[in-house]
This record gives sequence, C-alpha cells and structure tokens, in this order.
Amino acid sequence: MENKLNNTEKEFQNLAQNYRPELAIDDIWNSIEADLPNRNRRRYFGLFWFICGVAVAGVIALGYMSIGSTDDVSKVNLSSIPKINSESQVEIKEEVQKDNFNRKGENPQFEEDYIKAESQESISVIEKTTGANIIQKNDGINHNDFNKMAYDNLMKVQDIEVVKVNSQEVSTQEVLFITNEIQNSKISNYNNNKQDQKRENFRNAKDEIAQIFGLPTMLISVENNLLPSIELLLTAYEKQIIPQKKESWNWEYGLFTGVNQNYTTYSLTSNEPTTLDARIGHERGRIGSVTDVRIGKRSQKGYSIFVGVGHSLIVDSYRQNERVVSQNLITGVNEISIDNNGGVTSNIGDLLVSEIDDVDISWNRIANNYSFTIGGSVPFAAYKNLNFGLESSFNYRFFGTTNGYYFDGDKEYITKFKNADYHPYKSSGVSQLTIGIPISYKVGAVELVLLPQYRFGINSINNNYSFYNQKSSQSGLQLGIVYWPQ
Amino acid sequence: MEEKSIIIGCKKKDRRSQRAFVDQYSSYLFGVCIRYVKSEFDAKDCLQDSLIRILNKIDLYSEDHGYFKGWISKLTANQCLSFLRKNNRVTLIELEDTEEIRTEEVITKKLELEDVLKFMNDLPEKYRIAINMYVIEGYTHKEIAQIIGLNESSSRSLVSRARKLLAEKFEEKKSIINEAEKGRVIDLRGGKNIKIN
Repeated sequence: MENKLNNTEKEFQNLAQNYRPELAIDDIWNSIEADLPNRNRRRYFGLFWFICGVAVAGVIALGYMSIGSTDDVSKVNLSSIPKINSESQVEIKEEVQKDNFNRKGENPQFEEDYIKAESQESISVIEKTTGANIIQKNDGINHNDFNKMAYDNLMKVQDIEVVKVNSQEVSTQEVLFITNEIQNSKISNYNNNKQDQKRENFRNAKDEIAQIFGLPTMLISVENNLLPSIELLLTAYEKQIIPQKKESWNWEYGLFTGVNQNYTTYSLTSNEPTTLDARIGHERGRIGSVTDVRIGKRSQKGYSIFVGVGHSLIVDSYRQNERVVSQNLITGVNEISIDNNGGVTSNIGDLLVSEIDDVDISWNRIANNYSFTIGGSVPFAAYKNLNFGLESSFNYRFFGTTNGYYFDGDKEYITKFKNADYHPYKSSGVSQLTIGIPISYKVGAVELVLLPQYRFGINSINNNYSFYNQKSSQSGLQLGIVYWPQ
Repeated sequence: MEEKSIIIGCKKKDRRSQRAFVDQYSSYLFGVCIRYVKSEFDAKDCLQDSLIRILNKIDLYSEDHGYFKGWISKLTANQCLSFLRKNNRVTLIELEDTEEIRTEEVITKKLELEDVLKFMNDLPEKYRIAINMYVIEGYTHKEIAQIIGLNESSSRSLVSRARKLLAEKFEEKKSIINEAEKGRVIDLRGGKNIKIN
C-alpha cells in the first residue's frame, strides 16, 4: 500500500529518487572487484567432476553389460523360490529380470518366453516330486537370497533336518543329513521307479552334493532313503532353481563428498630451528573439502575392493596478531660518568635494546590435490539395515596445485605465491594411507554411507631440497551414495 | 545492457554483467547512501559495501521481491543503517565556502534537489532515517518498525514527527523565498541573514 504523501512530499520524493550524482565508476569498480563473487571456475570444476563421474559410470556400465551378454540365459535370469507352508503347499516365486534381456539387444519377448518355459519345467518337476500345489509369483525376491531359501525349503518338503557344522571352514566342514520319519504322505507317494534316468545319477549323489556345497566328497554321507530328496535337490540344481553355491561379486559405484581437517607436521632436515620455531603455534591446518568417485566390486558378504579418483582441498593458515618484543645486544654508550671537575667520560659497551613489533599476519595456503585411490573394505557388524565396516586405501596424488604463502628459509620471511610461481610444494608424488569406518544404510540397490576417515601423510608435501619436511594428514567426514545392484 | 540480462549475468557471476551493474546502478545507490549517512566519504564506503553485498546476494533475488531497483535500494538502505548503528554517531556535513548561494537563484527556486539534500542533512539522524524510509523509499510503518527494531506505533510517531519537521523546513524555505523577493540576500544553509542592502 502506498504511503499517503502531500504534494510537497511527493515532489520531495521525486527529486530524491532521481538524484544521480556523478561518480568515478572505475575507482569504485577497482575497489570492489576483488571482493565480488567469481564462481566460474568452481562451476566448471564441478562440471568437470560430474562429467568424469558420468563417463566412468558409463564405461563401467557398458563393460558390465557386455560381460553379462555372454552368460547363459537360464543361469543369469531365472530365479524361483519354492516356499512351503504348514499344509505342504509349495509356492514358486519367479523373478524374471526383463531389463537384462532388454539390454542385450536380442528379442526380449523370446527371452522372456524361454525363461518362463524353463521355469515352468522346473516347477513341474517339483510338483511331480512333491505332489504339491505350486503357485507362481513375481514377488521381487532377489536371486541371491534364493540359494539358502530354496535349499532350506526343499529340505522342509522332505522333512529332513540339515545340520551344517563350521560351514565357513571347508576343511573341517561336514554335512550330515539326518533322516526323520517321513510324515508327508505326498512325499511317501513318490515313485522313484519312474525316474530311472535320474536314479542313475543318484549313484554319484555324493559328488553332486559335494559340488553344490563346495565340500570334499569324503565328508558327505547320504542315507539311502534320502535319495528322493537328493533327486529333488539335484533337479532343482540342474535347472538352476538353486544356483551354484559360490560367492558372487557385483559392481558398485560410489560418490563421496565431505570435509577434512588438515594437520601439518614439520621436521627439520638441516640445523635451522629458528625459522621453523617461528611457525609453530601460528601455522596450522584448517578445514578443507574432499570428494571421491569410486568403482569397485563387492561380494555378497560385503567384502569390497575399489579404485577411484578424488579431489581434496587442503588448507593451512598462519595467524599472528600480537605485539612481539625482541631484545638484542648492541654496542653503544652504556655508561656516562661525570667527575668532580665536570669532566664527562662515556663507556662503550653492550646495550640491551628492545624492539617492539605489532605483528598482524593472516594468510591461507590452499592445495588442490587430485589423486588415485585403491583400497578395500570388510564388514564387521550389522544392525537391521545399518552395516558397519572397516576400510583402508592408498592414495597417490598425481597432480596438485598450491597457492598461498610459503616460508622462505633463506630469506626468513613469508612469501606469497601462485602455483605458476616458484614454490616448494610438490605437484605430484605425495602418498597417503587412509583408514575409515563406513557406516551404511541400505535402501534397495542404493546405500547411503557416512564415512569417518583419517588420511595419514606418508611422505613430505614439499620438495626434498627444503630445509624442512612438511607432512600433511587429515581427519574428515564424508557422506556418500553407493549404487550396488545385486 | 538490459536490467534482466544484468541480473541473469550477475547471478552467473559473470564479470561483465557485474561491471554493467556497477555502471548502471552506482549513481542511483549513492543517492540512497548520501541521504542516510550525510558524509560523502561515508556514503562512498556504504556504496561499495552495498555493491559487494548485492552482488553476493543476487542469487536470492526473484521477481517476488518486487522491482529490482526497490530490492537493491532496500539492501543499500539496510547497509547504511548498519553503518550508522556500527558507528553510532551523527555525522555533520560541512559546507564549503564555494557553495555560496546567489540571491537571484534563491528567488527563482522552488523546491530543488539541493534543498532536498539540505533538508535531509539538517534533520536529526533518526528523523532523517524515518523520512528516507517513509517518504522517499516508500516503506510501510510495519517495514520501518521491523528494520529499525521498533514497534509499529513508535514508527508512526517517529514518522509523524519527522514529517512535521520536514514541513517546517518547507515553510522556512517558503519564507526565505518571500524575504528574498523583498530584496534580501539570504544564506539558505544557515537560514540566517548574511547581508541586507
């Protein structure tokens, strides 16, 4: 709402608003230009990393697809879950991964029909064996969960208890099938005389089971009356309803970004302690940033290996705002004596002179590091969807720029430099060891990761001919997102 | 360069657009500053700080904020108020000898730009701010109250007193002109007679 003004006030307002004094615009511009925002480089820098990330992800995805296309269709895509309820009804849940076929560039409909037919055949075998009513469902249960579920459920059909001892240690592993009384009448009706061809294979059942579980044959004992069960198991195995029991490793792609706190340590390489002492207490690390793009492979158990590229911004600062009093001995008149006759005698000797300097120094040094990373991680705990791991990696700086100030040991003063100028800091060849504790929360194929890290500087970040070694380590916290399709 | 292009360019941190902004709006914003802080030197300081502030915050500007000039004018006014608060002082402007006003000019003048600046400078600081915000910038009482940190009724009485003072200045000016028409030489700056022939 417009304020109510009288005519004079309106005239007054009009005059005031149209006041345009002449100004020296160039002077104003020169005085403010340095303080104006200039994000062009940052934007391009972000764009650079985005393009790098997309390119790396694209290459990996292409590689993954080309590898996938050589696989046997039935092995890759068929996933059926038999599940038994209290009435011995079996549900077969089938998940057909249409996307994989579409990516293959072949006839998707043909592939789908083929898989369905394969699946149906497997289902019919189980139906025939157990006499159960089988319902197909596409419930999205993933392929990797199938192995254990399918096996356990098949054992339930047979009312067989399976005991596995020390399943992680093959050398001491023993699988013992204990037969209980077969209570399920449908199973008891099983007529193995009609399965002569299959029965021949039962003679090699121990070998087959050993193969499934990756165990030495000698550790397998099979009771004769378990043969129908074994046949069922082998049938499912042959049809890939039960995938071969082996650890599978899938690609993972991660993007991490966060902050780091820099810590710098110095050690002398020559006897010039004064110049180094001057920095202690004033020069210290500050908070910078860190970003990593990773690709790797991860096992179903959560072990992973990865490589990546990263960028880190490492910041040091020097702050000194104090009055410095330094005392020096100089030679001068330190005593004057006047005798009784009025004669004046002066003595030349040491004089203590105090110099007072009001020091006000404030500067930053910023190092941009681009590095390769190779590392791995192991899981050590899990709680619901939260997983805790331990990771370690090796970082190698392949390129870096440094801008800011350095302490000139020869001249004993601080010199400002740009990367293109002379300065003592290395542009490559700096290595770090990193340890971290990734805490991840899994949502489908995506993991959100909180990653506390410590990066330990192995070697000096300045050149060898400096009179001191300067090592840089960082502690930091990154947030990451990892795509891990299984 | 069009206003819209300048805004878009400045949002992209484009140097040429920033320079165009400074070229185009410095003079206008200086006019805002000088009304608040009186001293030309301080006004230039405020102008520079305002320009930096505006160009750093220009991402926040959208058409919802009203017309662009109004938005930058508000930021500048706020900058000036911060300056006044920070320095917590009333600056006095000193007239130079060369600014002597001739009788003939006084007679022919009604209300002109110099009068505006002079009136503003003669007002006590709090009234000057109130006149600036209410009469010139067009802030509502609610806005003035928010910016200065008063309640609305205090803002009303402050503006009311300021307008009264301004009206007195207008009357004073009117009487000076009348006197001048009678053949007297008047110094507008002090409002007192210099010489009568």
